[in-house]
Amino acid sequence: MNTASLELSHSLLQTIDSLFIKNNIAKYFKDIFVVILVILCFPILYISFWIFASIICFVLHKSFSKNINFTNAEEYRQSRIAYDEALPIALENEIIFSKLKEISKIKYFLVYPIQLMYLPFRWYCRDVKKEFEKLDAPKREGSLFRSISEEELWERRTKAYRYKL
Amino acid sequence: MFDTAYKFNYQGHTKTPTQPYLKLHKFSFKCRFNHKYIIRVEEYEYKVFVIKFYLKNHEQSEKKYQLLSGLNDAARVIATSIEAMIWLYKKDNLSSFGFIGANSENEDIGNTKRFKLYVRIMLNLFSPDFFEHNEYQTNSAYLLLNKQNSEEYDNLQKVIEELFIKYYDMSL
Repeated sequence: MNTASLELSHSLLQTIDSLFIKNNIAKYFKDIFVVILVILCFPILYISFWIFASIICFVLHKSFSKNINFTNAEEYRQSRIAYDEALPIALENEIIFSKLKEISKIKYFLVYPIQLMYLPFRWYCRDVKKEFEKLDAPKREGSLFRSISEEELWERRTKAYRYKL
Repeated sequence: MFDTAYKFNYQGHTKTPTQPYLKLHKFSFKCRFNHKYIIRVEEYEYKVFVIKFYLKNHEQSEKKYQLLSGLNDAARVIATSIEAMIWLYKKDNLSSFGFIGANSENEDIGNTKRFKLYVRIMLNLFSPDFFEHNEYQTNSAYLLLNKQNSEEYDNLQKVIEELFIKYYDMSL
């Protein structure tokens, strides 16, 4: 065998080896970089999502709280319509998230910012309901007439007509 | 709903010392069939107005509140009576209103057809913001208690109830 060709094949093997090692190291570092990127990015993304959800929550809460107090019949009617629209959203959201909490707590905490965005609906419903209850007459014992509660009055209406008074 | 009312005339009020009510207000209007209607509003103490209406042709009848006109014009006639109520309220925003849904012939006095209709109208047109809604189905009576006035007079509802018992033959 020719020694020159042997040296050539040996150096070729060395080159291939070094290339292979180099590629592997590069791939390793690339993977590490991706992992580090994911590890670093996920909390940043999650925190950004939280901040975004909190801002939405704050803006919605602020805009909803403007419609809680009513001073006339028309404002009351508008509040009642808004309440009727917000209540199913709040209830549906509550059911979905309580089910998710039962299934997996990790998933629940991951999507918690979404629930945060729905919280103003729940707060609005709670606060406006208190305002509606204030319209109810105090209970009187032995009364000839039966006082109709605000809720019953609204439910017995055929349609949300404008009030005359 | 009940938006189209007839134009009515306020005929003034008379003081009624011999009657349980303080004043008697009268309104009149003509329907599209040229029949004249009278809205009679009895004003009691504490600004309580009891609304009644009848066809002028039935004025002499004892059953004038029970008879049906047969003109199929109830919606506009009732709407006109409501406009009269609103007119009175605008004159004095401490007014409370009451009415009884009279029974037709062969109908029981409790929860009458008229009462059911009037109650539905009250629920739709008068908000709980200004009035406390009270019903007494046994005698088909309804009371729109002015919230502002009831803040002024404690026990106003009790007083009005006594008034209903005394003058409208109602009991618990």
